[in-house]
Amino acid sequence: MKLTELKRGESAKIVKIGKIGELKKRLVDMGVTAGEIIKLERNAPLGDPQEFIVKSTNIAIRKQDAQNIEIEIDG
Amino acid sequence: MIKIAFTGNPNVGKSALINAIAGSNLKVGNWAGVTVEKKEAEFEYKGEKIQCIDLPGVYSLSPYTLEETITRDFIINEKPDVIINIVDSTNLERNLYLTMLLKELEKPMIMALNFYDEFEKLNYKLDMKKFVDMIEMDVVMTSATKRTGVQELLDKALVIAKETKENKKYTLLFDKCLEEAIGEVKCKINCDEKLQKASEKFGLDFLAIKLLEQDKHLLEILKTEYKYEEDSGILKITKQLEDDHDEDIETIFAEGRYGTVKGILAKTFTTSIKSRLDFTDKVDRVLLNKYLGLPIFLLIIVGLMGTVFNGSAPLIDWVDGFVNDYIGKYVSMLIDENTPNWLASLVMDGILGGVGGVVVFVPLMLYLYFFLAILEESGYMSRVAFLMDKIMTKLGLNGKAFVPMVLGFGCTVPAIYATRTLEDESSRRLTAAMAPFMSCGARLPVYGLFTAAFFGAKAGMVVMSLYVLGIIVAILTGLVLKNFEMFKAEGRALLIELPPYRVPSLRVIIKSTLIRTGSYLKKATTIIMGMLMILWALTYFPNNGDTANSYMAKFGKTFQGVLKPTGFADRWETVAAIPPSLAAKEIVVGFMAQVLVGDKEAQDVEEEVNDATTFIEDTVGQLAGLGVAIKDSIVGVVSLDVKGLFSVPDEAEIEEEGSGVVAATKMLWTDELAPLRAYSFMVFILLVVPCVVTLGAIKQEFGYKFTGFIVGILLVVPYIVSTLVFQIGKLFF
Repeated sequence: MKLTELKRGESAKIVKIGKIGELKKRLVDMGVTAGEIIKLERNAPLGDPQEFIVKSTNIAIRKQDAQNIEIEIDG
Repeated sequence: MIKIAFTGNPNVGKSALINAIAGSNLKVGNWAGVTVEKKEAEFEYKGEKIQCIDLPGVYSLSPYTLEETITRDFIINEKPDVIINIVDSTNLERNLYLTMLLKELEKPMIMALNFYDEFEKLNYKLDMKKFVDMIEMDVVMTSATKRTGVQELLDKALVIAKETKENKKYTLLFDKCLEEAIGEVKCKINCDEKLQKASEKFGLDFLAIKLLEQDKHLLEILKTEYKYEEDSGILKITKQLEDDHDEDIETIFAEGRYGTVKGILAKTFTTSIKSRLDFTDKVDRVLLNKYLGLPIFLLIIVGLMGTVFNGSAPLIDWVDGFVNDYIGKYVSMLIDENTPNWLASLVMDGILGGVGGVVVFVPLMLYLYFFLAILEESGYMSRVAFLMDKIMTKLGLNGKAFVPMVLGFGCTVPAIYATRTLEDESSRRLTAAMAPFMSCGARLPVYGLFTAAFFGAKAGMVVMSLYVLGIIVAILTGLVLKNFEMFKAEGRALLIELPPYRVPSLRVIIKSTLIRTGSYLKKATTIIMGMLMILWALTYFPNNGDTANSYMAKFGKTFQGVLKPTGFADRWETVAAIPPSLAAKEIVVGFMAQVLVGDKEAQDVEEEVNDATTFIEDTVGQLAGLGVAIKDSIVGVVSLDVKGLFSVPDEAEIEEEGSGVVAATKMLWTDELAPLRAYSFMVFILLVVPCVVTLGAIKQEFGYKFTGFIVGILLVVPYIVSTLVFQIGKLFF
């Protein structure tokens, strides 16, 4: 499933980051790599962007970009 | 001299640590040609000359961001004697990724495990001996806020700098297939004369890895400086790796580095049940709350406006009085009947006025930088980007750009300096190009005069419409400019860290406030003074202060034709008022008084000095005044009343500039189009170059070329809009 399908407070494992050019490299540099656990912390009050926690770091990205990150929820 | 470079992720307490080490020797400037802030210091320590350079906070050394290329190029080209890698000890996994990248550069390094006090509070454990062995460099535990470990860090860094003269080899610990690939490329480097030469500069490991990663920044340098042509053999290895891993090469290497970090931490680090994010989580539940988030943000902005402008206002008045009344009084004593008039005016109005024009902004700068630093250091500024992204991104701007835009309603100068808080160069430029259209406080007296003369009871609505027009023009300008190369935010996606909230260190904030204000005085004074002097000369000559017959008047008469379509230019007085308005917009009112009423009295009253008091009495008076100003300033900060920033001075206040000026202005135009002409003039004043101090700020932040470009925009746009207003408005009259 896509990262945007994650509900608030839910965690999932990152499976793959799609080919989104430079952003992919920056995401990877900030610790968003395949196999990591990612949690949706909250949406911004206006709905976008979204705040996630990866590697005990809070990061924010827009929904249009989060769409390109594939995740799976265990069990 | 020993060169020490400080590197680390953003938000790891780097500036606090450098502050603790370099103390008062710190200087700020910009990295050559770009608006990224550069801090450096030179000082002597234990008989050794030391140079500290603060490299921009980065997550990686990729070729994609300005900060990262600066860091990388500096380490490669400037060869620091030692690199201090500052690491947030409460977030090792993420931070050590950069350490791995730095190790690839093969330079002598030492690690500062910062926030070590927090680390201990969280009950985290690190097997230090093993960790040092595996990370292959000295490690010092530091806490910049508690000032522990700072001296030890410096001492050890110096030892390393002196011991290691050669490059240092680190074991990179990639997995087998990456190691093999790197080995193969190294062979190719050793067989290729050009690459071998390059490896002397870049280091063998770094060169091999970057060749494999197809790093565009490095390939460019290899092509231009070493005449290297891409090797299909290396490309093949890269392709093979990508096929085997079903990933792109950069991700493969990144995951390799994370793997190494994980391996080291698994053997050395024990976490606890406590999370470093507990406190931040609690705060963000309120500050980023779905319903409370935006109202609280607006409150903070109102608070910022209130503090910066209401807080500084009493002090600005005091500085103004200090320069003009106190210093002015004693300077004027040097002038006697034998002094030629022009020289007296040059000293009093030109030089002293110029100095005053520069220093009155100092209180404003102090307040601005102080509160911006609090917003930044506490971690809230990143949240502003998060909260406002959806709105600002429509304009091609970063969410943080909201802050400079709002400050622009008070004064354009702090708005320009506040663009520093934005991450990328193009956003900074775009914001700086839009901010001058926000109607600043200095334009209010001009609106006051012209609405009193031509709009009577409708004045409020007219002024409101000008504010709205300014915003619309800013947005349109932004929408047009963002298509140009210079302003394109490279179509950049948003990716920001929302760092843990930390109580900012007062010491760091005060220091950065003082340093930044000092650099305003150093870097902007010359250009501002210069422009003010030119303006003075143009209004004074050739008829010794007779403004109505000055060069300025001549200018007004000359340009009347060009400005005709705007509707206000059939009177030369309005055209001639534009250049002096560059000194400060409110000058338009005084200028009108002088040329329309011929009233020099208003000015002369001010210049009349009280000779009865002695030097000591004056000094005491000034000091007492300063005390009152500080008290008023604090009251201003606390009151949170920002309505005053938008209130137009009434007729009585305007008449203080010169009695009869409102009536005289009313006589400027008597035809039925008069209100339209007045409105067109106010639009022009709203949109034209705000003032020379703004230009000084833009020059300091962005350089001469960009300043020239902005001046162009701020002349063309008002011309077009005023013309449109008049020509379209005419159809309805």
